[in-house]
Amino acid sequence: MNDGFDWGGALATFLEEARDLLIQMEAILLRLEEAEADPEDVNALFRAAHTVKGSAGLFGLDEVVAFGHEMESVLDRARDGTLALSPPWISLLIRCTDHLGILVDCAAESRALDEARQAQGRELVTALHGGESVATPEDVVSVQRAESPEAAPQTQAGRHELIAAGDAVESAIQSWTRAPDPEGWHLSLRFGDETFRNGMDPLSFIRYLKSLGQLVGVEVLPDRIPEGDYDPECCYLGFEIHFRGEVSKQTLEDVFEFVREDCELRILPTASKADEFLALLQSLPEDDLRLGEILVKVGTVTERELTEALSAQATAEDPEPLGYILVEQGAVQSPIVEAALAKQHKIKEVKARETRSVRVQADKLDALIDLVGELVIASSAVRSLSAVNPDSPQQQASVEVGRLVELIREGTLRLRMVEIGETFARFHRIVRDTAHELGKEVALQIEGGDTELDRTMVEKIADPLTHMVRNAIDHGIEMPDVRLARSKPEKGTIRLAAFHDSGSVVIEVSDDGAGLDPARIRNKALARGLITEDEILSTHALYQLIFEPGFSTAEQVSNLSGRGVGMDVVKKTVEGLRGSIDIDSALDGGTSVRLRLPLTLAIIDGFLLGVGDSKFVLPLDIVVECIDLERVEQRSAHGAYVRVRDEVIPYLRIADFFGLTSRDHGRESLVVVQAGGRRFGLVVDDLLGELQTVIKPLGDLFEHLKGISGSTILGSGELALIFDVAGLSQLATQRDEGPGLRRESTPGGEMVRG
Amino acid sequence: MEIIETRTGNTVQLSLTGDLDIYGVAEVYARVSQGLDEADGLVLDLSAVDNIDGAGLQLLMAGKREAERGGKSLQLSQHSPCVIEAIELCQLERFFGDPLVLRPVGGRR
Repeated sequence: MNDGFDWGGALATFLEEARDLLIQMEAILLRLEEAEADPEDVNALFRAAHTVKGSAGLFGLDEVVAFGHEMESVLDRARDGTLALSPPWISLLIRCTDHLGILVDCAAESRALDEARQAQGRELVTALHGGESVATPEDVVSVQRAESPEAAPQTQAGRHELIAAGDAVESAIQSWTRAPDPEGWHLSLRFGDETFRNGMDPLSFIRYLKSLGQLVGVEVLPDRIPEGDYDPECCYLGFEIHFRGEVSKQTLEDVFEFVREDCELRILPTASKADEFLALLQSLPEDDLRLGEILVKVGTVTERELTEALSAQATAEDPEPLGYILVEQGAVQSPIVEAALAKQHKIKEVKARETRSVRVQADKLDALIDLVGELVIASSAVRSLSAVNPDSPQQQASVEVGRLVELIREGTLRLRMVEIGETFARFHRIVRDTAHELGKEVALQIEGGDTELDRTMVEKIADPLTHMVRNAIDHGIEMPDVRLARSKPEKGTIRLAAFHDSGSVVIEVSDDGAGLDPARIRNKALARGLITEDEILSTHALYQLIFEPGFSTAEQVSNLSGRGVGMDVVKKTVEGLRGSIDIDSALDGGTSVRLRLPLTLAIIDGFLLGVGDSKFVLPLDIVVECIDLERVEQRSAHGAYVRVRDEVIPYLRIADFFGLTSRDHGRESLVVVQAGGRRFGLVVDDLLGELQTVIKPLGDLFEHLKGISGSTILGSGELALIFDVAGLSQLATQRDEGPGLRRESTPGGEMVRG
Repeated sequence: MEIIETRTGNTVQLSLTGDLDIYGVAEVYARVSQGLDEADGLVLDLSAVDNIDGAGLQLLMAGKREAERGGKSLQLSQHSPCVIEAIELCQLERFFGDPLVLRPVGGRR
């Protein structure tokens, strides 16, 4: 890997892609374990394995190729239906995916596989060949017994498995069940001028093709090599290849996946009946012709038939692809449509590849977001300057600039948002493995996987979530027999859910297990000296004790959790992110742990408030309403609660809380805020309107300050402090909690009423 | 890529050493072109070619065609194993028409 081409970079890309694909494969396999095999899933599985293998081949990673090939062969059989992916097969394939991942990792670090792993690899290959560890007759029989009532087609596949033990018999079976195209394929290849310069070598593709079957005839076409002006670095090569092999057309196309943009590729079954037609179709110029036009152009359908089909497609509720409609209407024969579709598919695929995604380094993105933050501040300065002169062209311009800046801000921030679903998906595996290890049966339910949150946030909560999920399986979900005795379904359920709630993201991990036992927690806490005998705690406060370091409710220490490390780490991480954590539980009814995290966007839509000479910012989306304090009935003598439209809500007087001198103009406003499912009020002097703010973190010195989460610089150059809403909510509402909570939270400022 | 030129009468022999690939083809092509201009016959000694890629193979084809057009001859000799593999892969034995030393094992399937 030391020649001029950037192999290092290409290899890094390969590794990244390979790991993505392995994750995909794992996800699909786990899904298959749950539900009946969907052909599309099996296809995707095959393609992923194939792509890993194929691209590894380009880099000469022989071990990956060899092992990938074994997996691919099995998946190929699964794909054409000669092998049913029964649970033992899926288990095996999951292990194989892990092994493939190890091989890729080894390749990444260019180190050799250790002996134990090599042995493991050999064992897996034997198993993939239908060795004893998978398809022993007992296994198959038991699988059949489990499936037979409803799965008739699988029974037949099960029989194949039974036979699969003998290699010779198997291959004989394969040769008739797979029914490969006896005449093979004709490939017509024209490499583009830039092929060589793009670091691709046509020979390596031909070589790879050869590894899939037999090159019956190869004709290299020198015709395009010009007579004069020959540029030796320009690729003029074309190949006509007669290939014979038991592969699908997709496999053949995939061979050229990495050069597809540089190469015209036509693949025909050599036994094709509609030879003339196909030749005509394939000779159409390579532009984005729609299927219909292609068909009309080659005379397969008339304009009239096409129009009819198009209108049928438009009026149908669940529009079918045009091709199906045409076949249904008897306008074209299906092989012809397939050929046209293959061409269209190819064109589309190239397009899709171009638009799919771009990988950007995270720090570049962060730098950009920083800059946009500065831009937002600068633009609000411009706006406040030009506001001096209303109706001037200057102001119009600044409003327009402001609008654009806002769009840029939103777009930039969206770049950093990722869906949490990807993180959630990893839990299928964790749940499966943890449950197996403990001998429990657990299903994982995922909700709100499309909820977006900041990328850095996702990274930081992944580990706490793992702790929580494992905890739930270990402590929450009971053993199957216990569950049955409690008349619950044998299989426990873990639910992972995410949703947005008033400016924060809520992530819930719930189970339908045993629930927390307050009495047991209390005993444990007493034994650990966390509380004293005479302390009376609310249930809620008791639950909070499980977040104390060194606390564990497990009767027996298992090797998974129950060592008392975990929940305290979870709490610390979450609080480090300025989030909060809550527990709901019912004895025998399950437990639900709720993480509430800020979106931690660097920039927020804020609501500017004034108290005395100080300015404060609230995230706009949590503000429910603003009320003149005078007009609300003051309910309590101490003034700590007000009644707003029959709802009693607690409030904090900001001036008192932070020890500021309130401006004495006699008109205080109550800002009603909704946070964490609770409403509370903040009393301030002035409401100064909306603004976009860039959150600047507080220095280390102020890190533990309650009630303030950051600062921002206003357009005028003034400093404003950003309220930590979760913290304020706790301060405003804690008075109705038991004494347990008060122990652990000491307000940063002076608390006048309490 | 190292190229050593030897002349025998009206024939030029170029001995190529190293990788006959995209990084060296421009240089080799210049020498092949020049050789075909100056002599009636050109022999490429490929015994020390460590590696050949599509660009290298294309160069050999281009040279062959150019020689034929000019009524001259281009001969490949002493193919190294990698060159033989590439020529066999693409089934270009007849195109070049040079005698290939058969390997004991392998060859076409």
